Amino acid sequence: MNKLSFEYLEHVTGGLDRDAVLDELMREYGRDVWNYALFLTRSRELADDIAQDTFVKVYERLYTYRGESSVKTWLLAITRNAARDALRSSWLRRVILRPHRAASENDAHPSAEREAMEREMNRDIWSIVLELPAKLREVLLLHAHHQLQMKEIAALLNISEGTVKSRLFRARALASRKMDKRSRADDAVVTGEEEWT
Amino acid sequence: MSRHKQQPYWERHLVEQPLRSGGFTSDIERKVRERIRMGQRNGKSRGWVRAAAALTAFVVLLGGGWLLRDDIGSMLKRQPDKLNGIPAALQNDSLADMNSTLKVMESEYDNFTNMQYARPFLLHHPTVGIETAVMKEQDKLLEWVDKEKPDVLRLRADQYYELIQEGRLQPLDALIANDKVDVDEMHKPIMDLLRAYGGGQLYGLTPSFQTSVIYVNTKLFKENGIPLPHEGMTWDELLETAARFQGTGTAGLAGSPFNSNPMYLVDAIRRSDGLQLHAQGGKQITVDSEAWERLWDRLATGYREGWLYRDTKSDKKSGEVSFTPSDPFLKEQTAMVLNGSYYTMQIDQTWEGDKRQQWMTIPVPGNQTENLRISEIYAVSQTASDPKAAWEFVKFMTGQEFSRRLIGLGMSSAPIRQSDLTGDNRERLAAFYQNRFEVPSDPSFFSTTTDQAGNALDEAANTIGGPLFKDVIENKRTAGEALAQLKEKLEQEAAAPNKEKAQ
Repeated sequence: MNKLSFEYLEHVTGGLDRDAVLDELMREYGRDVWNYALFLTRSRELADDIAQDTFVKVYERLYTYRGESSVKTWLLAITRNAARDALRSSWLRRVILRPHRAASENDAHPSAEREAMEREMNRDIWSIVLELPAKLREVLLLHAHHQLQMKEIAALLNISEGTVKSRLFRARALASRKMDKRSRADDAVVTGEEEWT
Repeated sequence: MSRHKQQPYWERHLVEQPLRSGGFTSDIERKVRERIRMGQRNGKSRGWVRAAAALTAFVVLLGGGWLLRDDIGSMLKRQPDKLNGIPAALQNDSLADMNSTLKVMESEYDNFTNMQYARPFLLHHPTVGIETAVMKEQDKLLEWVDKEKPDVLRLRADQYYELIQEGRLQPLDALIANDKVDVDEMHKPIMDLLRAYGGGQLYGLTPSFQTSVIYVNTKLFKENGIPLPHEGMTWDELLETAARFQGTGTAGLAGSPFNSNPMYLVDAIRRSDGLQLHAQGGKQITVDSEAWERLWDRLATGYREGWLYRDTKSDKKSGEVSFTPSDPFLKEQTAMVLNGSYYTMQIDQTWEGDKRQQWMTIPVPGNQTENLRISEIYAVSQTASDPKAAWEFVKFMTGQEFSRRLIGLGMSSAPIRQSDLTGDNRERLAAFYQNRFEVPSDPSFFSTTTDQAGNALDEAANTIGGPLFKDVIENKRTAGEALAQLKEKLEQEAAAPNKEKAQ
């Protein structure tokens, strides 16, 4: 839809009005960037920070975009890196400043933040999907929410298309299972799948 | 389709927004603009993050299950790329205290960004940023350089020469001596050229050069009991070797694997043997010499007798290049072919098993200077904002680590240091370093701009000469007659030099 209108980005050089392009990109992809950050971090507050970081970086690197991927995939890749940076430092900040919290909370007693978020969710399915292990959650949302193609997901995560497909399959199976068990409040998250690629 | 079959009923809802409120608000947009205005990078000190990252490996054990546990744990196992695996290099980062961004020249059809050439450098020097400035085909070099002010230039040989003449490049000899860059390890004839252009001083370094060699199918030689060709042969001797394939059903030599125009080989040989098409900048046409006649005669005979490869089925009009997958060397229809360094990759991709061992290369006879391309000379601009970082970049991109990476990516040109080659390549590619290059007495030799008239004549010689040469092959004219015709037509061409441009 709007994919075409950004094709000129491949050809931008120093002469381009970066501010105007930035405004357009934020308008067009701001929500995608914010949602992706939310899916990665499951924190509204961090998503705000990461979305900011992402677009500051986008502004700095605008001239380096050369169309090796779609603008959206490019933005999501930057988001992913920004999320990684933000999580690393925010986690430290919290652990150092509020160690009692970090030690006392676990998945059985959801944090206030998480409870608030659940109340905000448009559908139950979102809370289930956000409970999936990071690896599975990310692939499912890139596919179902961001509507990326298999090969785009593979490139973004630096894994093979086969791995993308198998993760997608497992994500669907696990989320479906959780849907069925919903009423029993049995949310045991399958672990061992936590690593990002 | 299958997507719907596998897709669970709930999945389509994921297209919607996850939360009822919030998301990317205008407030976030405003903050982004504000931060850009303030020139603020991350709002966090990098040093802090780096120091903190060192603690994490052990702190994470204490972390336990909090909201972000799964994400965090895995994330911390993965250090940021720039810290990954190179602690030693980081400690020695000579640019660590600099926060500079290098602007690097890129041409329109360049691999610099696509192949992420700068990435290894950035891993070593995380405080340095790289951005590119693209020079378009139609841009004039000098104007472009003065307007864009790139810190690092990546130049063709003629551009290198031009910028030296205009005083836009920094001399490198002192820096090379200071940092003990081993320029003696670099292929001497190329270094001699780069130095000659700078009047004895080096103003740039190149990671590689492009030239042609003769690829030899050793199996076909063995099967036909013909002794292998070797380094040091003249063109006459090499053609004699090719002629021995007459009647074997295989050609001895092809001028090119993709261009079956016989003029291609004529041109390659006359250039390396120093046969001039014209003298005095096109004022005098010199194709009626005895040497020219002998060459045309010999090659026409070869094509007629079939020991020079000619794709008779697709005998198209002269100058046309065919990219159909009918490579005569890979199909073993010719025992030798003339081609550039990228071809080694092609052979490796096509031939499997034992076949991989049945080829070698030998240098092309004669002087190969006209066949030499140096297209990526790294140089530091006289106006570089951070000359130290720019020089580090030049050094890195022409150094051993990057060279190995280029070889690993699939080689399209010969590395400047032969010693960077390993394994099979070492022997098989030795020929690239055996070609003879002579420093042209006229330093503007590579300059494409100074000899427009001469270039037009070269082109005309091929288009007009093509049909005439074909007549000679088919015994419709003698070589002498054909060349006399060619001379006449080229003289007309030279007298009307503007015709080409007007079209």
